[in-house]
Amino acid sequence: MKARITGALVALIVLCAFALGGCATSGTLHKPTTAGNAGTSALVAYAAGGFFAGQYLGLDPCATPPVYPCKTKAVNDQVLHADKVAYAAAKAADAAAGDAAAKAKADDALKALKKLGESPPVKSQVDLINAKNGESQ
Amino acid sequence: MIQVLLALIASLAGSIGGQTGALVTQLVNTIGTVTLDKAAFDATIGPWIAWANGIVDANREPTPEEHAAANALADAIHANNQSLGSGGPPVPLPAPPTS
Repeated sequence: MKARITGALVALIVLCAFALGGCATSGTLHKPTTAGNAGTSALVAYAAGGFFAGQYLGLDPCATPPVYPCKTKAVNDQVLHADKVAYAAAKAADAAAGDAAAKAKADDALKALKKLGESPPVKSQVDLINAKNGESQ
Repeated sequence: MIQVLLALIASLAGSIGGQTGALVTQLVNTIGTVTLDKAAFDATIGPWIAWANGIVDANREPTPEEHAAANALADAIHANNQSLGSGGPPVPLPAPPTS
């Protein structure tokens, strides 16, 4: 039974990998075409990144001993700061009405948020959650 | 094995391009796996992305109301993150525009 469920899950993931466009449709913004819709896209792009930052920020603080998944104060503060920067950059990009430099700054801020998501303290939580989910299937 | 496949998906997403949309896809596949709550993303932010894409695809400027809605969304996400990061309660997000 466990093997069948795991197999179905793997098949689903592989299917998503090959039909990535379909799987990720709701998470992909189209390339802006005007100054105004570039600003709107920057704001929504921040919202998408910020949503996931909120997922980490919403974890319970790590206790002693820690019960995973949980967040540490140090990483919490880093994510909080990165979110603040990304928010400010998105607002600036919107206010700049399509200015390329402001748009690039907003993209860089989102990249920083993403990089934080891939950093060892956060990635270790990801690995633990993945392992935990694997055990429960 | 699942971790490897998730990494593959993230890698494929990264190969799509360098624009903001691809970046969001990468975020879905990296930061999103922190809680593996992509379903919540699809339900909450997905409609907003579809809404923004509708404006872009129409190759038009957003109306003042639409612009205000996008700002309200970003403001709410930021307020929510600041609250959660400070140990406070979650802040409700605005409902996605219906048109």
